[in-house]
Amino acid sequence: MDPELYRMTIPLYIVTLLGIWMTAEYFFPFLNPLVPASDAIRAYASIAEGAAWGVGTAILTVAHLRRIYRQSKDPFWGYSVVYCVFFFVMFLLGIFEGLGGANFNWLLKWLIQPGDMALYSTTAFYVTTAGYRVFRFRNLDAAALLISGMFIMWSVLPLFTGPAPWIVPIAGWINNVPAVACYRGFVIGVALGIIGLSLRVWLLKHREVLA
Amino acid sequence: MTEAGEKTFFEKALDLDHRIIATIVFIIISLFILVPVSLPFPVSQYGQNYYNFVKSIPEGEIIGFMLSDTPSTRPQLESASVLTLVELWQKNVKIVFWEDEPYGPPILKDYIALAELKLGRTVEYGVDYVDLGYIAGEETGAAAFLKDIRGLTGGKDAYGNNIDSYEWMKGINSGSDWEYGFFNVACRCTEPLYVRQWQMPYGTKVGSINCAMDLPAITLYLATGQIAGTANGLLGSAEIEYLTGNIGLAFGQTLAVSFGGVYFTILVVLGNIFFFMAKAKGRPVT
Amino acid sequence: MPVIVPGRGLGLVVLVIVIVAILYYLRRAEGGQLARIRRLPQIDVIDEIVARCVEMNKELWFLSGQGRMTYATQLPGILSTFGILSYVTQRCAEYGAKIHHPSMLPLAYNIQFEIMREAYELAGKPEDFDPLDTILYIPVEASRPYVANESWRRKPAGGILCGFWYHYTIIHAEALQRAGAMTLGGTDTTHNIPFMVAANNYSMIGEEMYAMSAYLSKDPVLTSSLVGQDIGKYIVILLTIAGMIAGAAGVNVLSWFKI
Repeated sequence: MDPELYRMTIPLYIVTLLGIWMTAEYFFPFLNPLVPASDAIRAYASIAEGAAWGVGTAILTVAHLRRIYRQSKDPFWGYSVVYCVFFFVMFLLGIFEGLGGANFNWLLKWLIQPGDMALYSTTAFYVTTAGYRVFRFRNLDAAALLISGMFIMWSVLPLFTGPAPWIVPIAGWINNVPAVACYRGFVIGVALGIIGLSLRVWLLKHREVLA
Repeated sequence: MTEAGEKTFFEKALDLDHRIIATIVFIIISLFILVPVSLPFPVSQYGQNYYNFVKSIPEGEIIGFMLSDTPSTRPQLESASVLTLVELWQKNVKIVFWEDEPYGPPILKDYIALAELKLGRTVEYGVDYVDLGYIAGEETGAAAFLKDIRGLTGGKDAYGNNIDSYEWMKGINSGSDWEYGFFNVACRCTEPLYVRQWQMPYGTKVGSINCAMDLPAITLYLATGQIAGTANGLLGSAEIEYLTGNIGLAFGQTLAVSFGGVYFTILVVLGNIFFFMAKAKGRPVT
Repeated sequence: MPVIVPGRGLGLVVLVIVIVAILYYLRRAEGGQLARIRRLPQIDVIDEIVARCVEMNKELWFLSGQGRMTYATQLPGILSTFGILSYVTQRCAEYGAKIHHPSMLPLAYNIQFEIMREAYELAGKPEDFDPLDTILYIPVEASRPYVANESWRRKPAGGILCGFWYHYTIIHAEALQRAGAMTLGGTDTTHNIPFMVAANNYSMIGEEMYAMSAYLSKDPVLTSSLVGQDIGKYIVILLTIAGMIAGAAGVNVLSWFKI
């Protein structure tokens, strides 16, 4: 059998068939008997995603193990050791204790969650440095970005809205009039773009979706 | 640059090392968290509308609450979520929880424990609330769940108990069975999902607990009334603390962030001054 | 039983019109009548970024965003990155620029792996494809410190960020900027467009990213399909104007949308 047939052609036809089915099911109630099958397909897709998480994690672990093995070639191989230790500890705890296990949840609550919070908080530093770099009166567009951005920022800070309450209606106008109009146009454009992209996939003209 | 090829002071200032900028932000915010300063605190229309929405829910009502906070956004949304629960349970509202993110269930348990502390009593599972667990599939999962709860969950809650063993759950099987609802989507930008799949088809009045970055995108729905109110990020949490009289961490953080905003404003002003000074000296700058 | 689910009739009508329009322009293009479409400047930007990486002998980083392919709202953004990835990888392979793609999408990883491997084979340089460095899977939570630290260490000269993004957009874009990269960023998520536009040198807004994948296929027939999407926009504009006039005249416009 031609490899192209089962690698590309058949999968693309499956994509087309399922796409048309799911779309038609949304509009036509006489297709309701097919809903359980649709729900099953969606469930299988979630299962496939779960398997993909496993594959991706395995690939990542292999990459780190390779770094440890070739330690002379990579000066930062020590971090790969840290990754492997944490990965195997969590993996084994998850396997033997389960998701409700005390040690697993302890590590989740006191190691992973604070780490996640700390990483999220780095956004503040990046936004500050990006703002210093970007918010300049280079031209009309940059000036509009600067002025509107500063008003929106001031409107959520009590230190500014207390002494200068007039900031709030200006920021409110920016939020409720031009921003809403632009977002509506953006959302409509994206929705139409999705229709176009989906149709190109259904018509087998966008073969990159399967490499 | 000067004729010798060195950068002028203004060009150096425009290329300021990001580590200096970040360090100063860190110092300012840490300082004002450790040493809080009292400031006037006007409540925004968003916060007031959200609070009014929570207050408008009648006593004894049964509501739906999709609570799926994440560790990243917990510092800014914890207060809004917990105090909303406190306000609701003070009115003996019965809450049906579900989550759409894997982090949701453990964080929900923490929030319930914190709400109990503030309430001064324990809330009873099956009487005050029920947790239907993690519903996978984002939009398709939410649509299927809100269409037929028992069909998707198999009639069981997150702990394997039969939903129908709770008397007040007998009439609840879809989004249309709730007149009021809430969703906490953290910063996953899925508020439009709940407008599309919950508010619009079933007419439920919904309130949103979301991080501040999501506000511009949900202003559309606030403008049309599809979202009744939003506890918007850290400021929203601080406002809810202020309005409910439970001043806490979010309030202090907001004041600290205000000073960070002052620093940011100074940075931007200085950046523009340096930009124009460098330009006035005829140097190419970006 | 109604033929169409109540409340969805108008949506079906608009969808059918848009699909018919796209098919019409596709047919016309296949018959030789190509539609005239303005050239997307971002195409030249990609070539410029690749050229910069070749000149400076540094890496080009391709970040295809986050999200899950099983979520209907996130899938289009992820799919649109495949076409861009294919083009960028081919360009890098042809001109000898090293591309590094830390993928945060476990389900898409295998597809992206194949896309990049085939791009190198098409360019006649399969030996340049390193299966554990050209593309690498990084969990989303780990991607922030990875991009921040590795970009600072490796100093890429170019960066392309496209796809579905959460709030990490600003971290990744700013980290690449700090490393000295010239960046092109695009997303279809409303929440992150401001970050993409502000933090990157060039940007693709919303549907421009979907259109790019058609453009980069260099297939004029495919590009003509973009005109069909514009028919949908004309319908929306007409409905908006009609709704404004009717609303001002006191007509209950909302009842129109319950067909």
